[in-house]
Amino acid sequence: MFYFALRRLIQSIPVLIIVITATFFLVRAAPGGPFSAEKNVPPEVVKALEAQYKLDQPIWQQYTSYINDLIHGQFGPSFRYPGRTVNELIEAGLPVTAELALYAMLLAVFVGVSSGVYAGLRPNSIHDYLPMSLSMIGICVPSFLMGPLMVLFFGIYMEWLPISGWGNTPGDKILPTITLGLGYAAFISRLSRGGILEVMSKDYIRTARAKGLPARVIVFKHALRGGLIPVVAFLGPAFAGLLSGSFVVETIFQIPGLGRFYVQAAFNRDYTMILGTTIFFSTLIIMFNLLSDIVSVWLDPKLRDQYRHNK
Amino acid sequence: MSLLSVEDLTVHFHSRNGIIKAVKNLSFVLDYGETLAIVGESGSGKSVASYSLLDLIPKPPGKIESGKAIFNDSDLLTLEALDLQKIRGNEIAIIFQDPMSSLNPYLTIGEQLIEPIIYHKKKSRKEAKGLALSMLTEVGLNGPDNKFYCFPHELSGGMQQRVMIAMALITKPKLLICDEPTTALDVTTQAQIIRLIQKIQKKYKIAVIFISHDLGVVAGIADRIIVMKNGEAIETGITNDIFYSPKTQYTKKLLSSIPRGEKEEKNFSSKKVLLRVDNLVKYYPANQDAFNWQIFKSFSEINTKKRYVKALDSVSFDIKKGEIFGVVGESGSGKSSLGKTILQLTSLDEGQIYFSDKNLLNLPSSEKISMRKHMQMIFQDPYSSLNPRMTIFDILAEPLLYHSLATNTNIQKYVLSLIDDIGLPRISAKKYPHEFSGGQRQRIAIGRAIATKPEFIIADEPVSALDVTVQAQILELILNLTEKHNMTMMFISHDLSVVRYLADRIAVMQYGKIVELNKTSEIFSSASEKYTKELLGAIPLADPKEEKKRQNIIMSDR
Amino acid sequence: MVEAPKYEEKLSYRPKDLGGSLWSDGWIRLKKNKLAIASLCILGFLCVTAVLTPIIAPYGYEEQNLLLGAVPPSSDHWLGTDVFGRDMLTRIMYGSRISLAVGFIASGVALCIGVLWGSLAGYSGGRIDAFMMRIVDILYALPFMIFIILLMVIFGRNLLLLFLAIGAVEWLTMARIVRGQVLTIKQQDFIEAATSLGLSHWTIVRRHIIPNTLSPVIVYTTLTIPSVMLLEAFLSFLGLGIQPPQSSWGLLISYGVETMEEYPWLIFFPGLFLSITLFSLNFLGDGLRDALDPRASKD
Repeated sequence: MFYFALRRLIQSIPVLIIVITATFFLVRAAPGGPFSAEKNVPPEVVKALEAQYKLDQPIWQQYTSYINDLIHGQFGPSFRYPGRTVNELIEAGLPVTAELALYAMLLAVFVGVSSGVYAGLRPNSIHDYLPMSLSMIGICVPSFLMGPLMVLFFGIYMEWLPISGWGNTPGDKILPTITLGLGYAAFISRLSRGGILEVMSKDYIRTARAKGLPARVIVFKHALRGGLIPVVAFLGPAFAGLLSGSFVVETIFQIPGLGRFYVQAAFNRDYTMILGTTIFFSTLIIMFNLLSDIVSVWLDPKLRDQYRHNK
Repeated sequence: MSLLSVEDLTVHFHSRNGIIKAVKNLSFVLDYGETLAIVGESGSGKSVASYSLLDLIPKPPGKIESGKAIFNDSDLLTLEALDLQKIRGNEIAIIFQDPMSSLNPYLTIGEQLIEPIIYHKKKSRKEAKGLALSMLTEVGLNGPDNKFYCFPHELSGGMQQRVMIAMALITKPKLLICDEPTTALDVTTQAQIIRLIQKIQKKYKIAVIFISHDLGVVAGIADRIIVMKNGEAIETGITNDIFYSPKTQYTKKLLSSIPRGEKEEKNFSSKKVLLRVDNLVKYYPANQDAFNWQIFKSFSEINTKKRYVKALDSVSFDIKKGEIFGVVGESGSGKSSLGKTILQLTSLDEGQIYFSDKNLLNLPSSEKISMRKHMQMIFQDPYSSLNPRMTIFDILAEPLLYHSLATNTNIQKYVLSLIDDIGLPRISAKKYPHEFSGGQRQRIAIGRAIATKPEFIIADEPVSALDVTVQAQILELILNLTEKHNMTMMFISHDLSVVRYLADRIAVMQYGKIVELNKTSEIFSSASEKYTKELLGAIPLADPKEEKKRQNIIMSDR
Repeated sequence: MVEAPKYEEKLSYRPKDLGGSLWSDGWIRLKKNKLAIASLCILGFLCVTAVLTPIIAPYGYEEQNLLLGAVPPSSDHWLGTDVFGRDMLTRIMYGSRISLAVGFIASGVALCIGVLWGSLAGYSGGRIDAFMMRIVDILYALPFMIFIILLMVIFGRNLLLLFLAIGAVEWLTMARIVRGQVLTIKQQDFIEAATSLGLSHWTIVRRHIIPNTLSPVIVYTTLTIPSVMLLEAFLSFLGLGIQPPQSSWGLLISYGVETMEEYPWLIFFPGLFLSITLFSLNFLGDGLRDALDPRASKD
């Protein structure tokens, strides 16, 4: 099992390298540089700035020196905010986004799994139709629609909850978390329901019933293990989705997180910032996918054996 | 006072398209320590009846319309769910047909084994484990300490079934229901499992309800038999009566459907050799397959880099024109690989195949395709051997049109006469495979195989998936058609009685090798190899008195 | 000896299916699903409206009425107007053209690439299959959203690029599904029967494999369209998708958010139409899945 994890880890490295390289060259390929937006900057100053940021060097040299910096953990200076490095900006924005993503993930998993399993155990009844209809709403009303609507309703009309900032006013974390997590809760709910439904029709559940085991044992010990496998497999992509979803949510609720910085950096052609956040996010996503893969294999004894014997 | 008394049990399934009456007014009585066999073909309701006693049928479509089942002074059918739960797995236990899917693949077998003790007898995990270990030994599993921590997929089918039995008996129930427990197992394993059930039954004085589609299997173990058809009990009686003086038409038909007797011996010495195979060798990489102990045992050479299994180990034989050549073996014997390599559906690693003196492996590509029309195959599973998106007409027309044996103008004539040959009404041509039953589909598969009038047909377990009465019809069809079109056939099966009925010569395979090859009569009267004798000894005899004799011999051998 | 009567019916617990091909069976089953049929009608209506928009829209697309400003729904303007006095109904209708077009076209792209890739991998098996699916796995792990955003920023908001970018993301899952299906079909005996008849690989794929992969492909395509539309709306909302003067529902929603407090109808109506379309597609997809896969019935 350990070697399997190690192998997967090593296989992720080329992916990361591709991501970094591709992003690097893509960004540089864009027309216009980080300073061309400033109309009123005299050309000599532009030249000086470019020299300072090493933009006048041949591109390969820029690449290698970037990688070199990267290995030392330096993402370089921000082009947009002179005097501040990308590292600083990431450090500022990361905790916020991380917290948001975490809460949203917890919400999604907790609400999703419990509602889905609940529905799946009583198929084709009101206990099934109601949660599934609600989850359909969660899937079909995207976060950038749900968010503003909730802001309108809870924030402006009812004035129950604050609608911007993070950690400034009590309760201001509620709406953003719900906005981000609800869509995923809905999807996980459907996955869980499907998974439970499929498991409950399996022969080994019939055996468990035939042994006279109490219902809670059958559900929690026998059914859940197999039924939630699709959910575990989904967690990797879900995490990636949550990160990208944070772009929208942070914009709507004006949260000073990494997502918002990323969107701004993209608009402003802040090379190092774009690169830095892209790499950062990508690494996180790749790691999480890896984790999700490994856990999926670990949960299934047959796959565990297969990978143990293979090479 | 009987242990279980069932009166007028009626179970219906309500689905979108109508009501299916699965069980109709079934009544029977079971005494302590008695073995009752319920025999029937698919759709007879035999399993449903037993499942409904324990509330194991899916309830939205299923409904127990009426009836009583008195066990220990209470009616199982009207008990509160919690009370019934206390009886299930405790006083009445049940084992199922497919042990692989009936065990939870995510839990160790030890964990699954101790559950009934913990929840019914309220013992501690430590005590339960001790009981589990002794039970594992009792059902014949070696190294119980290791096995306790194994996962189901690490055991063979026979071992898994033993675990199921251990799990059922660990609470010392009064009644054990066995739902086709041996159908998914090899013949020799089947015999062992049946013997195990008998032994345990005698020791603990357990009553057994044994459900099977195979009358032969129950001949040796049942005290009384109920024959069911379409949800009704057609005939009930003690074993000897059912076998030696059956009263109803259906029972007689069931009994006569069991292939008995040998084929008339024919002399093939004057005929020429149609197919010759020389030292066929085929390897399979071992990791890919499910961990199967039998295949594992056939490691004769362990390649240091990867583990390989020899599916075919230097197999050589001749088949003469007009012969029916039987190939018999259990799972892992290589018999299916043999059929597939001869027809070149899988690759061969070593060896030669000669058909009508032509080397099949060296043919120029133009001849390769035309050679195809001389050799065809009938497959085992009628549900996957026909393309569900093609009409019967298309399925039967395809070989004829592809090999230019018919043109668009006369194709209809050919196809319709083919449909006549296989015994189906002409209207079938417009229909799709899913509208037909298993036996009918197999007829269509046979029709497709004979469409090009091949000289040689390989039949790979063509009747194993069919009901007994249907089996008989299909075998008859195969025999008739082979004679009518003067075809040579290689008939592969795990069922020696079927092969005995059809084949002129029989090759017995084990672990990729041909263990014995001889005329049918010789094999059955004077088999020389140990394995052959073991196989012969394991075949269920549909004759209670013979079975008892055989058992006495085995018992006295110990 | 054994008698051989003509043939017998076999009783099984599944009552006999209605006669006919799996398509006509599927259609009959689908018709019973009221929700799916309603969704189909709604979608049909939306598509027809989208196509006929230039003819039937009440106002011109660019027609501004600055004096009017933003007004709530009225008899002149059924869905109100935006800050420039442009009729919302018209804008939503024009927006539907883009949103639906992106949905269908990008899904089409994903469909073609995914089916080709998946069936090639599945049918070839062995090393080719392993290699092709490894590529899919790697691409799957990439943070696509980020790349799309980058692409959009760098190369401008080009409609064609948008289609390609979205299609490039969605084909992966389609490839996986098709490959899985092809693998299952390959194991069926009728494929071996076709091989033993001597049929060429291409004939087998064309006549035996592809017709049997159609139903999951159709179902999945119907479910891909809503996620594609969502993706486009998401990008447009961030300002990275469709450029004005063209508009899509996502873009309309983003405009609506800005003035949400004062003119809620500017976000409500585009949002409503987007949600209804997504609902209908999902329900239709679910219904198709139940109708075309006889084994998947839940009772």
